[in-house]
Amino acid sequence: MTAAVFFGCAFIAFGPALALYVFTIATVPLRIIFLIAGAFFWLVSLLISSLVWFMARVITDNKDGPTQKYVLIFGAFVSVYIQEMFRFAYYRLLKKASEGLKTINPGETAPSMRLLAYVSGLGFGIMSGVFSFVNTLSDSLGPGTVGIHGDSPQFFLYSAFMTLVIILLHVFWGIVFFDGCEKKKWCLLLIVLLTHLLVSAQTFISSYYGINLVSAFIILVLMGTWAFFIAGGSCRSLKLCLLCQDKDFLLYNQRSR
Amino acid sequence: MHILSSRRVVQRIYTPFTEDTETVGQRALHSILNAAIMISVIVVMTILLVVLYKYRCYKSKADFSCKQIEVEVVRVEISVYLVAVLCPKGPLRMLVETAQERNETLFPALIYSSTMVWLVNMAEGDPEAQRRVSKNSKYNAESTERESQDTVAENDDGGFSEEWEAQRDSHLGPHRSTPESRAAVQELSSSILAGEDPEERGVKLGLGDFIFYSVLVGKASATASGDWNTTIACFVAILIGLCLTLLLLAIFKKALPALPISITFGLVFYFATDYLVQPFMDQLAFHQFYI
Repeated sequence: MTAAVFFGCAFIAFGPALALYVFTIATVPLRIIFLIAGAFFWLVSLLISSLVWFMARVITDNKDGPTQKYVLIFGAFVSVYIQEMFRFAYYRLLKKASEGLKTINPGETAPSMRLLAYVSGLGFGIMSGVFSFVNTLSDSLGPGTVGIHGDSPQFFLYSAFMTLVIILLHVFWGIVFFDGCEKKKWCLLLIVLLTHLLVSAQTFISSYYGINLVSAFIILVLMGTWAFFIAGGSCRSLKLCLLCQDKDFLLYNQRSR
Repeated sequence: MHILSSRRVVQRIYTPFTEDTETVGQRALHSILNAAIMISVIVVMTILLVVLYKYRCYKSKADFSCKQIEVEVVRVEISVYLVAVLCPKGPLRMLVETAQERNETLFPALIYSSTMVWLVNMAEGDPEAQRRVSKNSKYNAESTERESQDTVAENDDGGFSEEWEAQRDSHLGPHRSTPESRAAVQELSSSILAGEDPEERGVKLGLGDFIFYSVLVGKASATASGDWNTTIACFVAILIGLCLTLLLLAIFKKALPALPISITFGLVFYFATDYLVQPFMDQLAFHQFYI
């Protein structure tokens, strides 16, 4: 419960997303707009799912106890489903916007759907991460003792890592989802929905931080690899990039080797 | 996981009616009275500003006492813009029309302008529309360094005195807008706009709008029970409102008030996040569920 915990957890959770933003999005204003619009869509989906949860709570007469926990689980599942629905809605909007941009600016190249998939996934992820973690983060500054009633003292660290996983997963889900929409492979959409439900559900089922984190990271690595190959990457291009021999990438950054 | 926190209540001197009353009716009445006090201050100040401008009570742009008016005006509530902007006999419309008749540019301190080239293409069309785009909605206060993207373009002199430029440079720091870079930007634009003043191109937004946005976000962060969730929700909602307003600007090609869509979205998300989203996220965080 110190500044060290605050900064440490903040950078664990938001560091990669911030780096992605600074290096890929901040330089092009159009991408910033698409990012914020993606964040807005996630926000609206959260609003609607909160409304559903609220109504469910009112219907079950607001009693405390296990009923409320089941209502919450129901609300969380509905929220995941609505998030994916809004991801689809954002895809449709971006499709229309791409066509509109092409008619307005026939000379300039509109951003490709793959880039928009990445930007929208990052928008969803950042908003999701911020909403789940920022209040916890601001509490970590204040005076207090973690786990005073017998809970785990690793609460902040666990939350930070889970938030990181969720943000990156949203990026990968965005890429896979949009690719499925473009190529009309609806099974990809279903797989994204199911993995999202799986990651969410394991946080309800198990309260052991270690197991949750490890399985979430495994899913993250699998989705990441899949998204990499879907976005057009290959082992060869990865090797070239890591060894700084990728000529196109170097030319783009105006460096010589 | 239980987390305890404490809150402080602050009473402002310019809203003398307290909000800690017993009944909801009393609280509503007090809120209305507080708002009415601020609205009347703003209307009076705006009319004073227009009267001073009409009777040419300004020597140079540096001498005009923007600061005094700004201190009063900056404590605003939202509904006053209906009187100031939309009313046909309202003070701000008179200000804009007087400035247009005299063919002068408005005080640079009252308007934020961006000369981002890609936006130029969206609003391409007759130069008349461009001129009207530049005289946009609300005006107030001096420019804030928060919004200083270094692309603020200006005329060669534009009536800026040396002291004003020195003051601006101390606020903004060394800016990278040189005659060469401005010439390069002009090259990029389409031929229709080639002869245009750099100040006329691009989108202009009254700085009063920024003030209203800041007030809403500040209020959300100070008084909402959702803490950061509400603040961030308002922030994103206002940004999206601004995007939609710019889109409408490109479609209709005439001056539009920048406030309504942003403030509507901001308010909707403020209340929705405070009453619906915050309990939901709170419960999820309590049980350590992730969605």
